[in-house]
This record gives sequence, structure tokens and C-alpha cells, in this order.
Amino acid sequence: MAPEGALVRAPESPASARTLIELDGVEKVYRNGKLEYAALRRIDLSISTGEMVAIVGPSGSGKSTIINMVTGIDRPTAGTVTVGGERIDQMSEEQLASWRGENVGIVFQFFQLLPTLTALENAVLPLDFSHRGSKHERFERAARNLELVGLGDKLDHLPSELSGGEQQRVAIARSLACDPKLIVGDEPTGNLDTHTAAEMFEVLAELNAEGKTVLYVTHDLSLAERAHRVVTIRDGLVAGG
Amino acid sequence: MTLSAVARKSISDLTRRRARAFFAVAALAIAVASVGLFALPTLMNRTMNGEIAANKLADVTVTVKPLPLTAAQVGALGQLPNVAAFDPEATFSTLNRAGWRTVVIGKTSFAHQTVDAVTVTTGSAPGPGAVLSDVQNAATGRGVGGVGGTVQLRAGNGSWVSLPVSGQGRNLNGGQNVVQNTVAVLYATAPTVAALSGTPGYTQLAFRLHDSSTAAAGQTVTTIRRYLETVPGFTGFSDLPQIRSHGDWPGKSNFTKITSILYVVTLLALLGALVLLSSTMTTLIGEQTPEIATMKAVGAGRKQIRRVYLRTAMLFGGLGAIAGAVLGILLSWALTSYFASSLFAISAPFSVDVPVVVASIVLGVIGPALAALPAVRRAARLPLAETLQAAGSATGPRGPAGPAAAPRTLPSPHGANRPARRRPPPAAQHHDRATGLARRRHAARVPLTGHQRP
Repeated sequence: MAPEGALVRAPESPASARTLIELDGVEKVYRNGKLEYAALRRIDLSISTGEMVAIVGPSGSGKSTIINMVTGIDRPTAGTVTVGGERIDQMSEEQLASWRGENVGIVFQFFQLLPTLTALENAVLPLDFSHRGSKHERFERAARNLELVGLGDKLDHLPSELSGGEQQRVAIARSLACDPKLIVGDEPTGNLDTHTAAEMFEVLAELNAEGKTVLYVTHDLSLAERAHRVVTIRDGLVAGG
Repeated sequence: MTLSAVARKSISDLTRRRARAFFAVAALAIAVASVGLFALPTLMNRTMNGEIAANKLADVTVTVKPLPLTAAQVGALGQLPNVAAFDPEATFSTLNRAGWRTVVIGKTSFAHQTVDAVTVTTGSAPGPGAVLSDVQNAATGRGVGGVGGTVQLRAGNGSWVSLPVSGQGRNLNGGQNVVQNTVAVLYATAPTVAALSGTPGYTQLAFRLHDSSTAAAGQTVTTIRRYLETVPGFTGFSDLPQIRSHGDWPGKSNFTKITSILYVVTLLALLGALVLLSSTMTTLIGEQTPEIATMKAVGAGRKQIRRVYLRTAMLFGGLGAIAGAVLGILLSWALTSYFASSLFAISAPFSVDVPVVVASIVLGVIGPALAALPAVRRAARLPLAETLQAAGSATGPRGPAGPAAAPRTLPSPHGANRPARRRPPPAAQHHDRATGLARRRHAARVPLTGHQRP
């Protein structure tokens, strides 16, 4: 069955790349009283290191649930989730928090910046939580990441003093804090205008070109087309990709 | 010094809602200040110890029926073992014209008082036929004229005698007698009292001891009794000997009762402040559920989330403790001054009870942290997926009804999955469209090739 919409595949990632993410028979069932809802039904999905993968599908199809599985935000009801060789479905909450901070950079649709902290402080947060390096080194690295996303002159700005695009750049700088191998975007451009969204995508594409694996959910088919691979989810199943 | 971002978050949470923070800190400051009430006994003791020394307060007082003593006998009593000083007093209880029971205390000398000294505060010491009015008479309105006036007393023979008031004086026992027993107290020479009562002799024998321990005082009372049995006219003690415990002073038990009532106020103030702070932290954490989710998503563990909010609570406490400690020092001194002035007509020197101040600061810092624990624990245990969903993130579980029907709600730590509704785009997005174009173009040109991996 063809993926939803007319998607044109981007070039395949190198065949030699090794597997970074492995979802094997993953099920996720939500229970609310007597109601049960299967968000994922025995999904098998493999993503290699260095790939740029877009996940598309209709609302409620389960694409965000896949993101939750890969980032350890949620746990599968059945099946295994392996990321970077580690079975994250078996980790405790504390282990997951630590693992997530060091191995995954997450970019949210609504930026999720802490409003009382400056851009620099927001960008340094994962480093503070992971206790990497000295305080000076942490701030230095966060400042460098902000410079990389074009916000070197707005380190001391609060989120309320930044535009939506700039806030998303801060969120990307924050996701780069611990130099993770995997960047996960949950509709990272969904709250931006077309032009800013294209710019954001460029940033993600450049990160991918630098060797980072990028996995993102999007409703924008034109952005999905630019991924190496498009995974289509429908009714909790992989319908294509 | 640069603070970590996590520490800055704890601090910035204080100023996020300034009015709320102000009232929380103010409530804590009042509670911590009320802990200063525990300093009252110490401060009062210090004040009274100074007064006891100035008054040369008796350690042992024995009451006898009017007993004339010669100078040699007075000298002999002062030389008994363990006796440091001795002064006999003649007392006469009668009525004044205003109808108040009046006690006239006759001293052997106002110039050389060695026990239970009366301090002349205004006017002069009374000569023959004159009286000195206790300062508390005027303060409580006991019908005694002021300095230069007269007081009319009923003499032992039933006639009314008018005596000039030479001045006002202060004595711990006399003052407490006025306040507690609702009498007027006057001081005069022993011959004046003898003339007034018509019965010569001393009725109270006051001793200061070298060793004022209960055992030594009891032994000394026995020695005094043995000596008095050799004095002609002695028929025995007319009341139980009064032995003042070390550190005791007249009115101490009443003062202790008053302070006990004040401790209840302290307890209520503390409980009120801690409940308020617990509620404040619950509200603060409830408001910050999306931020908690974000922190968890970027790597914060439960312990780190707890630390963020415990630090906020301790900052609340620290500010309240510092303000409260200063307030408490002033409050305890003001109350000590009030009690010393109203009960004993003395002024209290400024003094600080350091252990109480330290305890109040420690309590002020630790108490709020403990009060915030339930809210903080709840924050740390918030389920990430549902909290992110409530925060309006695109991630998070979708319930059976799908995302479109989902209300934006805060999850409980053990809550079931709740459907989510997308949050409308923030105002900043519109701002971006209007003003952010040049910045975006500039940002888009910045290459990422310079990114260095650690």
C-alpha cells in the first residue's frame, strides 16, 4: 500500500550504516477505565545511524507514540525498543532520564522553553542535568550551540523576548547540548510559518549532514519528502517506509 | 559567581509571581519571628538577674511575730554560718483612706541596705514619720499620693495618721506584692512602722547566703532557728521559711504562665505559615507542570526535579528566616521590655538569645522544605508522557477519542491517559512574522560546520 499523499523518496542512506533504532513487535495500548485503545500494533521499525527519517500519517495514527517509544518518554505494552544498542524499554525511569539527556535531543512543536530562563540558560539545561564538565565549560558549550543556530547575540534574552523561530532555534541548541547521536523532532516546524519552517528544516538537515540521525514527525509533506526515508503510520501500523 | 541554570530556575520561580512570593515570605517571617517568643524567659532572666543583684534579693526569709532585736543580735545573725548578709524588716499591714490594704515595710536603714534593698527612684529616702511609695502604687492606682503629697493610714490604735510621701522607690518583692496581691506598699524606717503599729520589733528576717542551694539554705534555716531560740521573746516562725531557688525571682511563675500562652501563638503562626507555604508550592508546581515535563524530557531525573523545587522552598524559607530572625530579635526585646516595665517597673537592656535566633533560622529554612515535600514529591513523580501531553506538546499518548476531542488537563502522577488538545500558537509566533524576518535571514546564513563535538 502506498504511503499517504504523493511522497517522493529522498536518496537512501548509506547501506553500510549500522542500526541505531530498532523497534521489534512494539505494541502500545492505552487504557482508560473500560476503554482500550491500541495506538501501536506490533510495529517493527529499524533506523540506521546517520539516517534522516520522516514519520507521517493522519492524526491519531500513532506517529507521536513511536516518537515516545524511541525517546523513552513512554514504554511499550509489548515488544522491545533498542536505541544505540541499549534496551530502553527495560530501563527504570531514572535510567531513562539520564539516558535521554545524554543520547537524545528532542525538539518540540511548541518549543517547551523555560520562560524564566534566558536562551543561554535554556540551552545549558541538559548539560546541568547530566553534570557534564565544569559550569564554565557547560555555559561555553551552550553559547557555542546558540551561535551555531544563529542566536549568538541573544544569549541573555528570555523566551518572551524571542520570536517563534528564534525560540525553536534555542530548542534546537538545547537538543544539541550533550551532542547526542539522535535528534528527534516532534512536528518541529508545526508551529512556524512556511519560511521559518524551511529555515528550521535546513538546520536539521545540516545536523544530519554532520552525522546525526534525525527522526521527525511532520504533517508537511514537502518537508517529509526531504528525508532519506518516509515512514507512514496508519491505525497503529507501519503502512509504508 | 555564575549560577547553574537549574539554580537560576529555583531563584526565578520566586520572582515569577511577586505578590505571592511576598506574602509567602511575609507569613514565614512572622512565623519565624514568633519563634523569638521562646527567647522571652532567657531575656527576662537576664534582666531580672541584674535586678536581683541590684536589689540584693534575699535567699531566705523567715517570718516571726514582732521580735525586738538589739544591734548585737542583728550582728550575730549576720555572722551565722553561710549567711552573707542580714537585714531585719518590720512590717505592718493596714488600710489607707482610699480603702486599699496597705503594707508598710520598715527598714533599719535606707543608706546601708544589704538585703532586699529599696532603690529610691524619685524624691528622697523617707526620714522619721515619712514614707516612700512603691513605683507600682502609682502605676496601679492604689490611692497613695505622689511625691510631696501625703497618705492617710489607719494606725494600730484605730486612728487615721497622715504621713508625708518623700518619694518613690522600687523593690522586686514590694512591686510584685502590689501587682499580684492588689495592695499598696510603702517603705519607711523601722521606728516609723513601730510607731504606726504600736508594736515594736521585726517581723521579717531576710538573709543572703553564700551557698543558696536548697540543702545549704535548709541547714541555714535550722541554724537561724537555733539562734533565735536564744533570743528573748521569740515564739517560733509565724510562717514557713521562704527559700528562693537559684535563679528564681518574684513573679517568675506568673511570667512563665504568660509565656506558655504565647508559645501557643508561636505554634499556630508556624503551622499557618507552613500550610500557606505548602499550598503556595502546590500551586507553583501545578502551574509549572509543562516545565517539569520539559526538564524531564531533557534529562532531569526525579531527584533533580525535587532539588529544583526544594531549593525554591528553601529560598522562600531563607528569606523568611532572615527577615523573621531580625523581627524576632526586636519582638522578643520589645516584649521583654514591656513585661519588665509593667510587672517590675524596670527597663530591660537590649539582649539577644543567640540559640533561639539560630534555631529560628534553621526552622525557617528546613520547615518550608518539609512543608513543600508532598508537592515536590508529586512533581517528581509526574508521568512524563501525560505531562507533556498536558503541556501541549505534540508528543504524548492519544486516547481512544483521538487528539481532537482531548481537553488540556494536568495529569496526576498515577492518572490514566488523557486525550490532548493542541495549544494555540504562542503570541511570539505572530511577533516573529511581523518583526523577525531579518533575524531569520541572518540566522539561516550561519553555517553549522563549526560545530565541535566534545
